[in-house]
Amino acid sequence: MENLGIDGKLLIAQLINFGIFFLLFAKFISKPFLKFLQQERRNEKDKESLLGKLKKGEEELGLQEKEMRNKIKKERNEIIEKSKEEGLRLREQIVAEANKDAETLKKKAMKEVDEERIKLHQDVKNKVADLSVLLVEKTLQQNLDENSKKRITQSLLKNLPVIK
Amino acid sequence: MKIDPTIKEDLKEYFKDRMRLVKEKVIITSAYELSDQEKKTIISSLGLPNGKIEYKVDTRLVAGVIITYGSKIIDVSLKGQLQNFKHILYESA
Repeated sequence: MENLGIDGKLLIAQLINFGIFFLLFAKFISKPFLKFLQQERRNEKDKESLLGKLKKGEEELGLQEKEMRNKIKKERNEIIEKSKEEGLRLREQIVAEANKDAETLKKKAMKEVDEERIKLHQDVKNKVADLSVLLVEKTLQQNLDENSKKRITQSLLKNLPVIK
Repeated sequence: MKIDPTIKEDLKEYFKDRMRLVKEKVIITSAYELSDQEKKTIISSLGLPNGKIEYKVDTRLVAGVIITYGSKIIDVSLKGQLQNFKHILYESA
């Protein structure tokens, strides 16, 4: 061993030194260090899970917002459609009522025209009767002589009632 | 206002007499001057009282007579007949 350049005593001393170092390291350094590493790992994991949760929450919010927007759009379109339909319906109703009123007025006017026509016809007939009777009266007044008047008077006197 | 009862009775009698005169008044209106025979015919046909009868002439009657006895009027004139005919014409269709 001396020929190889290895000092036995030095080797043993180094081994002992290494052993002491190993013991000291294992007892006083490795455990806290390992603890520290584990703690760091745990913290990392917690952070990652929190980040994941936040991302997930954000995604969900994004989806909800999208859904809400779609819902609002849909409702708006529905309201517009309903308003259009209502407007059309009202327009038709107004037109129908106007037609009905026009028809009523027309019937009333025609009825009035008929009544006027009947009244006019009656008036003309009455006037013709008046004129005819007047004509007959005047003609008789001018053309009847005394004898004719007496004969007519006697004929009329035959129909005299008795006064009670 | 109170009226004396005797005056009230006198007034009643007076108005009764006036009413009787009006009721019994006879007016015969003819289209021409009636002869005595015609007048007698009328009086006997109607049974008119022999009171005062007034005779009038109205040529517008054309022929016949109108007899007014109190509130009653009997129209047997030709004009009256023509007026009746006119009303019939009014009522016809």
